[in-house]
Amino acid sequence: MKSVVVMFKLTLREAARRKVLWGLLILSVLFLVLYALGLSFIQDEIARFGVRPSASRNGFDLKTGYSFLATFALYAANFLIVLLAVLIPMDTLAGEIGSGTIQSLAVKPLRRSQIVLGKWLGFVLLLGACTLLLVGGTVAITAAITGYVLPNAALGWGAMMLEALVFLSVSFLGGTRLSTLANGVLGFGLFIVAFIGGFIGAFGTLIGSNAAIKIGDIVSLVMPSEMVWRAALSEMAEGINPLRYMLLGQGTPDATILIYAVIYAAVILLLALVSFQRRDL
Amino acid sequence: MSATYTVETSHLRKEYSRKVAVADLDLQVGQGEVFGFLGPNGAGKTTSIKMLLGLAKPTSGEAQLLGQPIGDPQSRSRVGFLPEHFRFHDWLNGSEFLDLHAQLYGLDETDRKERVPALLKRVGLEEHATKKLRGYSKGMLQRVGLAQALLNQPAVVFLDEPTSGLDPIGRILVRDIIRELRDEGTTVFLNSHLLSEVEITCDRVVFIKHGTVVKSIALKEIEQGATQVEIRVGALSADRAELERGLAQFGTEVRLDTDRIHLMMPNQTALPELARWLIGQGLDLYALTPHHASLEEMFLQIVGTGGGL
Repeated sequence: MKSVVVMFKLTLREAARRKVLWGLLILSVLFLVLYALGLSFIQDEIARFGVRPSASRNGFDLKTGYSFLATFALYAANFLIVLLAVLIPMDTLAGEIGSGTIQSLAVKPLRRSQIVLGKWLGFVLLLGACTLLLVGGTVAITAAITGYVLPNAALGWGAMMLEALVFLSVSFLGGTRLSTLANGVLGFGLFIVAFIGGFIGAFGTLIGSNAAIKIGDIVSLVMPSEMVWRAALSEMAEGINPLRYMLLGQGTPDATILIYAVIYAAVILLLALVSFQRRDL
Repeated sequence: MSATYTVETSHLRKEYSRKVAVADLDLQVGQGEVFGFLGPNGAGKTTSIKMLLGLAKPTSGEAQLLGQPIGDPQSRSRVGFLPEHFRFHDWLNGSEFLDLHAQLYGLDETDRKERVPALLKRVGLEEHATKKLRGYSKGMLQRVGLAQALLNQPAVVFLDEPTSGLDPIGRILVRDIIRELRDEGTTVFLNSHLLSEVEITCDRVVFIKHGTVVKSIALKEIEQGATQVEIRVGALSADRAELERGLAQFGTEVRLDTDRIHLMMPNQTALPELARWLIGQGLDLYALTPHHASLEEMFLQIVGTGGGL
């Protein structure tokens, strides 16, 4: 356990020294400042002119508008989190194996699994803090400017965190066998596959195509990240939120996808531990 | 396998896909021995060390390190290792780097505070303790790597090319440290291409080729073994045939030049007697010089000029 803590601290220290921590903080603050500015302008417009009658007739009220803005901001934040979850850890094992840095660590009296676990926990804390800042900041800014409180925001944070954990574990597994570059390609490739699969599934619910729905389901089993986010969105979106229809169609994701994603992340992490244990360094 | 050796291997083999890196390694390294592990590039030296340290898994065979099967994390608490390609976390400074590795060895804070500055001083880096490793030269990295390998006061230290990046002062430092380790009873497993260094520091060397031990020699055997002797005398006016017959009692391969005699003696014990005999023959003796075969000559003789695998 002591060695896990040493590796955990080393990961955090490396993030701070290599300015990854500051990069994350600046990026998150920049995102929130942009959102606050945009929302303020929109709020000013609404205060001055109100909601158009044609929009009201279609059932689009203020609450729906705020829900759309907040969830859309979280959608953008979600992209940012995925990007970070793929980019930040992709070099931690692959790079150290490639350069030979790992050798002087692996010959110490500790198990290789302790190296992986310590590093993984370090990244969990980093991504968790970053996700909390982005989700919490988005919800707080929305409430402060518009008075609208996004429902189930904690679920949104949990889902984004879970999505980050899925990518983190995949990146660790890839890092035990692939080069840094190949590992990054794997992470982004899986993200794109999940993203497209999600859209195909959503489109299938709109046009009533069982085949398309099935494709979406199969892709979510291969890479559940996107469906985790969409499941959280269905709980957070209120009224006739256009984002909901864009990403979910007429469907409502099964909540069991969250449980599946937890198991998926755990199994992938376990495979990473086994793979790292077995490989020559 | 017995527990009497610090390092012991039996039929150790490592294959990578279709390539055999180590074919059949049988080694025994005693406690407190300074052991030289020699062979041409690609002979399997580094792979063998990696297997012993648990960095690479053997394809077959057995090995023990400090009486424990290789790969056992507990036995590694008494092992130090300086890798051949010393790459470390270069965003740490020298002191932080050693503190990190001391923590991984399980040293408590009191011990770390004592060991880290002492070792930085021992390897001549005390003035660079707060400098980031990325600012270190190759030699400085090798020095700090050596300090890292000694943090836990190990029972056995593996040094893979420890002097490759060092200037002559650095090499002397490494030589001194190896001597200190020997005096403390630490086993040193040295892999180096600098045979002159090996000759000075090691008690015993093995030569490996194609991942198999081809020869094991105690360095004392070289000193005490067969010696080529060159004798410079005045003009050889005496009966040359009779002189040759007389010299044959001291050694073989007798060769007479105008003013020089060459012969191979089984050891050096008869050298004073040979000198007395030559003078007794009425020869003017100017010089009598024994030549040992150097480790480099032996290396070429045993391993040949061809590469390994």
